[in-house]
This record gives sequence, structure tokens and C-alpha cells, in this order.
Amino acid sequence: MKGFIEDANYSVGLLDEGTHLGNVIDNYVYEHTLTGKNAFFVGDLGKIVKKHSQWQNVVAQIKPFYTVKCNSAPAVLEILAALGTGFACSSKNEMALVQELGVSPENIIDISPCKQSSQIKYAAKTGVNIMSCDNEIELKKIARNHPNAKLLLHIATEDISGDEESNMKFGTTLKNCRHLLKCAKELDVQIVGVKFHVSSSCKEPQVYIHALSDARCVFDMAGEFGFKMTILDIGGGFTGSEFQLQQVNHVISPLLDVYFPEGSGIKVISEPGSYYVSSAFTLAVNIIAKKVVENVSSGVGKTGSNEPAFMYYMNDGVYGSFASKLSENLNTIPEVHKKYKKDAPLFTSSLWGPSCDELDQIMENCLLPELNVGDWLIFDNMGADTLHEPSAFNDFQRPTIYYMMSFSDWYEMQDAGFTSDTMMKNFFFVPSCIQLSQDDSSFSTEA
Amino acid sequence: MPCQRLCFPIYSLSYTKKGKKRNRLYPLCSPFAYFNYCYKYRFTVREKMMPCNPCYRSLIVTERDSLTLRPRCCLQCSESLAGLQVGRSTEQGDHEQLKELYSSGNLTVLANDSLLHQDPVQLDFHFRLTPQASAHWHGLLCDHRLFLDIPYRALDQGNRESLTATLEYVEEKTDVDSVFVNFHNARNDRGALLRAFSYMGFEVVRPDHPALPPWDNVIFMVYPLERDCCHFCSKPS
Repeated sequence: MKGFIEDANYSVGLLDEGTHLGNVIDNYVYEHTLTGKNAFFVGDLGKIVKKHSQWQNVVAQIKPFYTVKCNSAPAVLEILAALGTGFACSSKNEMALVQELGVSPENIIDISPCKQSSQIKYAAKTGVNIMSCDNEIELKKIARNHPNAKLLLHIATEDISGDEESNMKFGTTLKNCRHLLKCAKELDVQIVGVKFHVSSSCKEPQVYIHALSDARCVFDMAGEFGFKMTILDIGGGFTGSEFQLQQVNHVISPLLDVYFPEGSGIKVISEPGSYYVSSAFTLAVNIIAKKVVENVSSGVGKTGSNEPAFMYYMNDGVYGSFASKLSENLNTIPEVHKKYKKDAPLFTSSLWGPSCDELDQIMENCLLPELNVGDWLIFDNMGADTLHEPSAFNDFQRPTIYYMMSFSDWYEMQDAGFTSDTMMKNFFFVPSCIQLSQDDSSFSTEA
Repeated sequence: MPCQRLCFPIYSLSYTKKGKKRNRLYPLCSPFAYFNYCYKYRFTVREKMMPCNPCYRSLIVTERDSLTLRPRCCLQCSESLAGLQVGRSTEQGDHEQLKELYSSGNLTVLANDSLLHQDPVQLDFHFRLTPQASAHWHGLLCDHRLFLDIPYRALDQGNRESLTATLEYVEEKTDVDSVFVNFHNARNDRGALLRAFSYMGFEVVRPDHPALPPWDNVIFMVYPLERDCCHFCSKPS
């Protein structure tokens, strides 16, 4: 599979009681310090399993379709396939990746807003029928290439965050829906449902309330045209917080009961992405250069104006794993790996990536003790939008990913009945007293 | 009306200006302390007929074109192109006429007649939104790559449809491998543009990638089109 050959043989460390993420990171930092100090990820697959249990506890009636674009690491996809989620893909590669894992096409939907004809043809060929659509051009394109497609009409939601520029304006207006339904009828393409998306920055109850009533409106309109509507997609934008999920459930449950009651045969689905993976991955980067600058700012907190400020260059940046920094604020703070004294003086520091570009800045201003070239910084919550498929235009060397899972999480997974034949052969056991090393032989992990 | 058409050039030559520029964000010891640039220009000397009542006189003019790619202004365009004036073509304003190449539905594709085949071809996409307004995507086609300038309010619903129509034309009627959009990196809606284009299927290109033209202060995003005999990959069809 293009781009993922090196990942096909990943292994998952199973941690014994007493060993935890911190130990794993310490160990790999030690190992990497000896072998070139490249940045690396540690992925805790147990967290993904926990998030899925949380989902089932709060909103079991909504089937999650994981957005592959958020993080397409093979271990993540395999574990989600084992857990039984669906997959929401936005490119031909993603669909192929997921299907290689044995996921059936009924569990795959295509949510790209601008699909290439080759992508649509591929979906037609492999049986992926459910696709989203929000404008006439896209509708005609799909009708030409995939006559058996079953479309979800993507309707716009209001943007109440107040920031005019952040309104991405995807999704069609209610007014235009009638026109699209008429076009679909003329082109003989099936519309089977409605989709909307509420971004994580404006998850207010009123947005869901209006979106659900708009969706009901479209269902009724579609009924007039003779379409049989069976799917409602409430989109994603879930950060992973249980509280947020409960809040959303609290708002939509009663509305779903009224507008789309259980017996009416309507399936409710969702597109969580960072919900599953954000907290599961931690990134360790190394400092490759350091520069002392005049501290011209008024100083933050303790630093006075005659103290130096530092610029640290790391071996990963916005053209690599920190891509989301270019478009959003980073929601993670760096942690210094080495042990330092509690009362060590802190200095105004900024963090930069390795490219020769002024945009490659990870943190503009933070307080860190003085660090040296070769020190490690740890960033957690680095699972979402960080691991991109390598491509011809972004051939940045992806950091190695080490996977682990605690024994108790693994037992829970087994108990709940989730298994995956392909994954089982990738596990190796890590007793708490032994250092993790590449030389450890794999143990058979038959249940 | 006197004919303003260009007369045959007396001579023209093209030259490259290369150099090394200090990147002050990095210390001298850093491997990224300098970056290289390369601009290509064409210097032309021609004879022109200028009106001089009641007759004409001939004048020798010299012009410098930048062959460092840049889409040119479109005569029908009422939008301002966000002030990106770097490397625009001849100051005299003698634009070569754009010819209609294709028209279907709301999309019209126009191209200029490139006299020398190795020159980049200007390819414009005009999409009619309403009887009065249309969205314009001005592009430069060069060696299987298409570079598009984004219209004002690129994220609006209508403009998004125009981009979908443009990409559809490019995929089905040309053999372009990659479509690039670019925008100034200091725009205050940069985050929104990055997210929106990323959602559409574009990815950010690292700034020193060899496929990119050397335009300053610009972010490029690319939409890779899948072709059976793609240069960069060899997947079974």
C-alpha cells in the first residue's frame, strides 16, 4: 500500500501492571538518544478502546464513522475496525486502506466535499455507495460516475462563534435543498439522508436544535419527491471530553425522539475523528538548535527585562506533525523531559520547527527552564491531524510510532468480545522490570 | 483606431537571476541560515508604432518580462487580486487576448495563445454565479501543474462551486497532475483558508519543494489529481 509499507509490520507493546506511558517514553528517549535523536510518537491504543466504551455508554444509539483523515495510522484503523466502528473517508487511498483491513463497504462512507472522478469511480467499483453532497456540480459529477450512489445531503449549520472568517460555508442552504432534490430526481440519483456538522468551537445547544429541525424539514421535502430517507448524520467536532458528549446527547436525545423516533427506521450516525485519537498519541521531539535573543517583550510573569529569551529549534514542525498549528491554535503544551529542579529559573522561550520558514513556529511564547541542544520536549494530545499520509508534496520523514497498550485495557477489549486476527500477531509482552528493546522476542498472545 | 499590436521583436533574450539570501531567523551556524532564490526574466527589444498626430513614428522599446510564473490580470476581471503584484508582466499593459476554450453550464474556460510552447499558458476559469456576477480563478499552466490565484472571498458558497467545477474540468479535460492554490501568508483569514482548502482535499506544500515557483510570502496548497501514469506514484490502476 502506497506510503505505508514501513508501517505494515508494527508491533504493540503490552504493558504489565506497574509500567505506564511515562516509562515507555523514558525508555524510547533513552534509546533514541543513543541512535540519532529522531522525533517519535507513542500511541496508547488502550485510550482508543476506552473512548469507544465511553461512546457506547453515552450515545450507544449513534453509530460512529471514524474520519480517517484525522489520523490514518494502520494500528488506529485496525483497532477501530476491531471495535466495530464505521469509517468516513475522503480520498481513494483512505477507502483502499480501510477496505484492506476487511471492513465491508456498508461500513464506509465518502465525505469529501469535492471528490475526484477517479475517486467516485473507485467507490462505485468497490461498493461504497453512501456519499455526501452539497451542491449541484458535485451532484452531477456523482450521477455521471456512480449511478447507484446513495447521497447524504449536507446542510449548513449556523456559525455562532462570531468570527466571520472562520465560517467555512460548507453545506447547502435549506432554500437550495429543494432545487438539489429536484436535480437528483431528474438525474435518477437516490438521496437517502441528511448530514450536518457542528464544529467543536461552536457546540452550542441552539446550533443542534436548529440543525435537527432543518434536517427534519429536508426529510419531509425529500419525502414529497419520493425519496426514502433512512440516515441522519450528525457530523463530528467531538473533542474527546465525556462531558461534551453528554451535553450534546442531552440536547439531541429528546429532539431525536420527536423528529426521528426509533421505530421510523432512521439510522443516526456520526463522524467523530479527534474524539478517538487526540489523547492517545504523545510526541517527543528533540532540540536541534538554540538561539539567545534580547528579551524585548514586557516579560511574562517572573522574567525581568534584562533576562535573555531563548529560541529553540526542534526536529519537527508545521510542515510535519504540527500542521494544525498553521490553521489553529495548538491545544497542547510542551513538557520538558529531563528532570530539573523545582526552583530552576524559567525563561521566555519560543519553539520553532526545522525548516527555513518564518511560519514554522510552534509556540510564540512560553516559560521554560533553560534547555540545551539534545534535550527532549514531550507534547501530549498529538493524535489528531498530525499523522498525515506521506505524499509527493510532503515527503517529510514521519516520526516513528511506537504503540502500546496496558494489559488491563487489552483484557477489557477481550472481555467485551472485540478481537482482530491481524492485530493479535503484532502484540509483544513488556514485563515491568525489563527495559523495552527492539530485541525482545514476541510472545504468543493467544487468549 | 491605431493598432497596438506588438511588432516582431528585434531581439530577446532570457536570463536567470540567482542568489542567496540570509534568513535572519536562524543563527549563522544553522543549516537553514541561507536560502537560495532563482528568478527568470526575458528582456525584449522591439520596435513599436506609436501614434503621433497625424502620422505614426516608430519607437524602440525595451521590456522586461518575468518568467517567474505569475498569473496575469484578466481583462474581464472586476476583482482586485489582493495586491499580489510581484513579477507582473509588461508595464505597457499589452495583454494578449484570451480565447474561449470551453464552455458548459456555468463554466467558461479561457486560455491565451502562447507563441512559444515552453512558455507557461494562462488558463482562466470564469464561473457564472448570477447573471451579474461571476467567480474568476486565474491560473498558469506549466508542465502538468496548474497554479491558481484565489478569488476574493474564496470560501463563499458560490466560489466553492466554481472551484469544484474548475477541478472537474482540469481532471477530465487536461492532463494536469497537480493543482496549486496560493495565498499570502500574512492574511488574517489564513487559518480559515487553510482549514477550508484542507477540507476540500488540498494539502499544504513545504515551502522549499522544487515544484513550487519562487514567490515570496505565499503559502501553497496542492490538490493532487490521480492519473494512471502519475509521475510520483506507481499504483496499479
